[in-house]
Amino acid sequence: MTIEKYEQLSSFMDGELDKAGTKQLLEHLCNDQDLKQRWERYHVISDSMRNRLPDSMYKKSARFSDTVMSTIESEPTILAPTSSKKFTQPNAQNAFAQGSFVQSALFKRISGVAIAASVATIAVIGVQSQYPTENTSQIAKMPVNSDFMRLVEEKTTVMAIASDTQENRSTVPVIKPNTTGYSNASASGALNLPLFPVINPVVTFDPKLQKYLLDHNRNASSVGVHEIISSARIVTSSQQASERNRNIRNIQVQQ
Amino acid sequence: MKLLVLLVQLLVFVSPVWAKQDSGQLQNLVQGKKQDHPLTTTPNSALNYLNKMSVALRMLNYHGTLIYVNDGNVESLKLIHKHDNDGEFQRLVHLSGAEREVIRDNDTVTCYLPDSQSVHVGSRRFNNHLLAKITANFSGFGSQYEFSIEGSGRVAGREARIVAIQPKDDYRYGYRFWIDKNSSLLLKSDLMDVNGNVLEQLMFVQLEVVDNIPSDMLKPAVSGESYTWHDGKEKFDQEQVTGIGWQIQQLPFGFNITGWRKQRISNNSEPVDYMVISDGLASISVYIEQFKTESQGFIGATRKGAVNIFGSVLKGYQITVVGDVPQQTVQMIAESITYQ
Repeated sequence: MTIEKYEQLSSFMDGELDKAGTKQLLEHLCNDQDLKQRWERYHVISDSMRNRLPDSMYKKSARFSDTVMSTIESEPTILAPTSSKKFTQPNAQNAFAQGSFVQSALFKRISGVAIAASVATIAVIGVQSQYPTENTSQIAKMPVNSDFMRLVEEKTTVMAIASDTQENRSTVPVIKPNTTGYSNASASGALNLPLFPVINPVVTFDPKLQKYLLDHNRNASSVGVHEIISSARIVTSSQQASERNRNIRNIQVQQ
Repeated sequence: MKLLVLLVQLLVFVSPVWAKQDSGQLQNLVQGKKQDHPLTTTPNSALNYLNKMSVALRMLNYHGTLIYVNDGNVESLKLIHKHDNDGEFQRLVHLSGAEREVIRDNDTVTCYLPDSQSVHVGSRRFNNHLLAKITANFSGFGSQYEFSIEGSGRVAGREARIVAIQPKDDYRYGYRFWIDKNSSLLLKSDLMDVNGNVLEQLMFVQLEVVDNIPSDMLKPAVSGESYTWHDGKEKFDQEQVTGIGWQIQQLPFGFNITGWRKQRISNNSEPVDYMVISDGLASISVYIEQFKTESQGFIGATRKGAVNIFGSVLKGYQITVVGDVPQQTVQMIAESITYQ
């Protein structure tokens, strides 16, 4: 059943899934954490193959082994689910055991991920090791925004939010890092930073949460570093929220 | 005589009424006088630059244009800041679209939001400037952050020194500041996660330090007369909320509850229990309100730029945690709240 879902997901990404299958898959996507994580991973992989990942993801090679370890520890295995608990607390005694675990887990993961037709094994290794630790672990534990939903709202809205999120996920990064020419390096000679940061992908923001955001920025954020930033968040967020709201409504109308 | 000067300086640093001493301190800082505070003894330390920046941001008169980058949007803003005998005044206006603006008149914060035809007034009750914190509670958050100087750069045509505040774990974000070598004003600010990825950026493209700010620059663009006014300034008795029974079982290392009260978050709502949690640099708001069947609950995580929100429902109450911290921090707090 699980493998079947993964195959469905893979075909869906390749545009080969029929209508009934798509409907079933979307329902699964709304409820299945594992599937959502997989969805994100597949997109990261496919983005990396098309060279569309932000630069920062490639610059983490220094943390290579750390990232591999934490990624593997936080990821479920695919083919033969075994108890990985005894491996999650690395120490000197089980260093050897852990080494062999790495190999087998990596193998399982590669063979599992390879189901996606649009994915090459070599890319899996590359991306999993270089994907920033924080992102990987966060996605594994709690997919950003994707499990956020309203309690009483109808299913159509949830679907709308889900599809909106998916659409946005595939367009990482929204602003491409400026890698040639105009970087700060020429001006400062000290830091090699892109002129514009690699910005988070846009996520759906429920406009009804706007009041909390406003209140937080007005009251508490001045606790923070400087007030310009909290003021900036206030004057910019209201517009974004109303635009986003409009987009969600449009999607609902189409459905 | 020398001893007397030292004693006076020491008093200045020890004084709890920190804000009143700013002018004197600014002069000291600008003139580069050696200071006696144990944390700022090195004139070129990162902390010293941050101190200077905080003082300059509050004490100088300046106006400029800046861009704000977040969530894939690049927005242009205008900032005007004045400081005189009446205190501090700051106006930030959005340059495109509706004339949304925020005015901070000392501790009163007024937000004009023409798109929603509303004006929100509030007061900043938790007055904790970076300056006050670095000098007063440095020991409180020095173990969670690392301060360093990362070299120099150029922003808005001005030479800048780059100072970084790096978080030591992934329960908080860090900052990188470009600080003007001349005025000590902030020229650019990056909010970064623990891996150094930039989540939010603010950068001046033009900045002028002036002697006086003409009063017509400080007037809001819209009068707001026909708008709905939300006044959040009303005071609530602190006594009323003590012993309310809500407890946070698990706070990430270094975070403390710094304020607790009842407050309204919009005109028609019942006052909610409101808590501020801070590690000295980052801040988190916790809202606890009665869950009504006709209203809709929020469960799970979402975010707006660098601000993460996590909602949960407990015993008929809606808990909403909002903070400029990573998602796992707001989640940990939301999920560990219990009712005793």
